[in-house]
Amino acid sequence: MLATLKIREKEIHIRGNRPLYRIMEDLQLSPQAYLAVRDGVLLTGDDRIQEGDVVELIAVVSGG
Amino acid sequence: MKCTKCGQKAVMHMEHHNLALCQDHFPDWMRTQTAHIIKKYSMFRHEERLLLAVSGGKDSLALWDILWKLGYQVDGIYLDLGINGETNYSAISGETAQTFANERGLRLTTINVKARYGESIPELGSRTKRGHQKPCSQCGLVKRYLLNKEALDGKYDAILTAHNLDDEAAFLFSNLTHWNMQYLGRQYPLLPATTGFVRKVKPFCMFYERETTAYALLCGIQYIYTECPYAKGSKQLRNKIYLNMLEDEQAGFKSQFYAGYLRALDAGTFPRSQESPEMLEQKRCTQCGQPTSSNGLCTFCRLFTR
Repeated sequence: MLATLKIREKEIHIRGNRPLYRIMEDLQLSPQAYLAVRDGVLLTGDDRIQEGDVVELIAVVSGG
Repeated sequence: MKCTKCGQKAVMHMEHHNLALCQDHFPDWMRTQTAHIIKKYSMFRHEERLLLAVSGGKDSLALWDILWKLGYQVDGIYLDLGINGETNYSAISGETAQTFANERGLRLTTINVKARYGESIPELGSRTKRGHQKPCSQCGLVKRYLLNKEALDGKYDAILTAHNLDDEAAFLFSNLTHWNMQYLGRQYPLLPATTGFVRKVKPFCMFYERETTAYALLCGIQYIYTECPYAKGSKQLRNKIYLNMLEDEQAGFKSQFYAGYLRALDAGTFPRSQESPEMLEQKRCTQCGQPTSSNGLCTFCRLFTR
């Protein structure tokens, strides 16, 4: 079972059992640009994402 | 990762501060740091009346929440720019801001640009050549003018905006790469009041954007997540992406970039460009009476004159 990342309207299924920062690196997402939330709790880069987890990535960059 | 203060699970790691904080200590830290910045730059005092520009986004609502909790007298102002279309952006932003204010018993004034001046920002942009394909330059001008006007009319002591460090660094990056000296000398956490212009302050200017977002999330603040439809592909967003790439390589880059600029400004490296009161007294708009650099109408009144 894969972990699920939600970014705005998109869902990405990824391999779990590794820290969040590794997943962000693989997806080439800047940790500066997103906050990660799992079950209503904010995650730090070293938090491990397990198979079956649903993690929402909240974009923080705004402005025009 | 553990909270530096109490050893509980950390929810925010701020590498540039060498600090990790839990869900209880991070909001406390944000409030303490905000109070510190207000004091450091002598932005305002508790007995003063403050007017905060509220967009319904994370930054302005987080700032309003913090200032309210710190005991400041802050009213909000929401400018309904009439940017709706498919996303209903302005309408939802306004409702979000109003809900926030109602829940806390705070006062929010809404100014509907179309109702008052006859045209929304998108209509203004499509009529004038100034905006080319996007109405962003008109939007900025209208917001600056109306915020100042409402603050003057309401006898407020200061106008507050929730620009964060990423906003400031992106603006600085743009002005430096274009050597825009006129703007370089003006970008500062506090712009003092001068003839016809109310004091302007930016209490969030030392916080990264991810910190203000985290505060909003941790405090359960409902904010509008949808972006302004005109922001897509903007120079400011692009510059923020570049700066975040540098931050990823070197923790603290954005903070050092902006803080270094402020030090340079304090040391007189860039001349501070603010019009003198004498200069501002010389010319007034023949329609609204605001100081203007041109003869006759000011830029705002010209914009709405068909």
